[in-house]
Amino acid sequence: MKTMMLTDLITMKNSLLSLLGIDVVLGIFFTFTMQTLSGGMAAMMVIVPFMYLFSISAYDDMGGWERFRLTLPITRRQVVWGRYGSLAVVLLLSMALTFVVGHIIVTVGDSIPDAPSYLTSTATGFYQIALTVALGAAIVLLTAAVSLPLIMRFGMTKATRIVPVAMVIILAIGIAFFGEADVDHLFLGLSRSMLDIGADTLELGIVLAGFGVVTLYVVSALISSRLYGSREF
Amino acid sequence: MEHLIKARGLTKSYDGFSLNAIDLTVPAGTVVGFVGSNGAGKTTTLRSLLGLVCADGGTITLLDEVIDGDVPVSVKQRIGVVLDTCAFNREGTVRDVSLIGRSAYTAWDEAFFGRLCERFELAPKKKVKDLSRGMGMKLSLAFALAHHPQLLILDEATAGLDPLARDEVLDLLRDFMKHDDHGILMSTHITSDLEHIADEVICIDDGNIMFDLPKDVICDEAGVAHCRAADVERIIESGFFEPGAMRALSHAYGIDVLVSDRFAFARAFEDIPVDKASIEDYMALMLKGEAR
Repeated sequence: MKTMMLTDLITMKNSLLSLLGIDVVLGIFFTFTMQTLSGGMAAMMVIVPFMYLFSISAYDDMGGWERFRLTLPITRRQVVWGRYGSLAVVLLLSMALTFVVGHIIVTVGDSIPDAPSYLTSTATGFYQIALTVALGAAIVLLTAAVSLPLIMRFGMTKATRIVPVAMVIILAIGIAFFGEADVDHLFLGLSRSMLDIGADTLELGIVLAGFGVVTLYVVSALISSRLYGSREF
Repeated sequence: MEHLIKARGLTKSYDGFSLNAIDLTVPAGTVVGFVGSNGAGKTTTLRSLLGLVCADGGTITLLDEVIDGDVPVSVKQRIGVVLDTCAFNREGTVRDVSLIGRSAYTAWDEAFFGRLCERFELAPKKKVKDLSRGMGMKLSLAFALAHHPQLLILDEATAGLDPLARDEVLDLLRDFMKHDDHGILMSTHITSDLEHIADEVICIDDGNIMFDLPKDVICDEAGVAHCRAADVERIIESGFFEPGAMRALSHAYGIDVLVSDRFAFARAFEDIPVDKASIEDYMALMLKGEAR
């Protein structure tokens, strides 16, 4: 798994460095054009992991790399878990970068008397930035959880036709399910249970959601591992 | 270790193609050339051996390990592979390729890789996308050799190389074969390379092994007799060949006949010119020749 993660990161090394630069510029650009720090930080949070996910998958298809990689001393299982692992590393990197940049902007905003209000800690505090980062990470993980099994099974070229369809279907199913279900009641129940053990609802809600998304990501890796195991090159 | 590769009864079926119970052996200390026309089954055989496709039947033993599905990591550590294209990320550099090797192979020899790159004029900062096909194949070969494998599996490794570069690569492969326990399975369309380096030649056609012979039997003992139509009838009537065993290929100036012992043939038919056979001649007559 370590070999696969390193291989992925070496492959993307040059692209990642330029992507991180572009990411910061875009984050700041969106902040000013949308006049909201959360919006800019959300964009900044998802750009690099998304581009990493689809770029590294596209590299697999180029020049027979995916086939050749299996001749290296790594198993198919390690290929799959390594890919999920390398995306997680990039995601964590992006989370840290977004968090740091967000705080730098707020700190600078607070120190300038005439700074726009959306750049100050009054409008965008620690929790807002943390929530934005967490929400962005959740969106990336959910997208990866859906698309990676398809990419692993069919390769990026074929998956580009299948992933959007799968996303639409999942979205439709989600809307149908949550439209019918008594979601408020469900979450109220959960919140009450949490309050019973003396926890803060918002924090626990975030922790629960995070746990759910990570679980989904791991389940997705297990499915990918099964699908990739039977693929022929 | 007697055999580095031993495949028995290897079968694999696709729509419109099947490998039919292939037997293939690469003994230690041997370079085995694997030849055949396009679509004959060479690549499918190699991919089955490497675990890239799952064989439908048969047994594979690599470096004394029976392979059931994926090739174990411990076995892959001792195999160097060159496929028909340079597979490394085009945006990466030669140094990045070295980093991948270092992360993948426990026996990766950075200094040796550096020497090979120097020999092939592959600068560390050179990007893969800036390499010609030939240079890309050299990089792939340097990568395959730099962890000191015991077995090399090469799929068209010399394709795209100019004659001088091919000689250079063949020299490198000869150096590799200085160790008695090393072996090479080399699939190629450039049969003249095999004449320089191979010990055994296996030919596959339409998923079937057509011949599996020591190179010397093909290049030193066999021959091509250049006949007229009347000569062919005379040869058949003489009983020199078992019925149906003669392979003859007509062309504009006569008929070529493949003979397994050109010296015996020359003694029996002094008036019929007979030349040494090349692997290409042998292959052409075996695959396209009419059985008589």
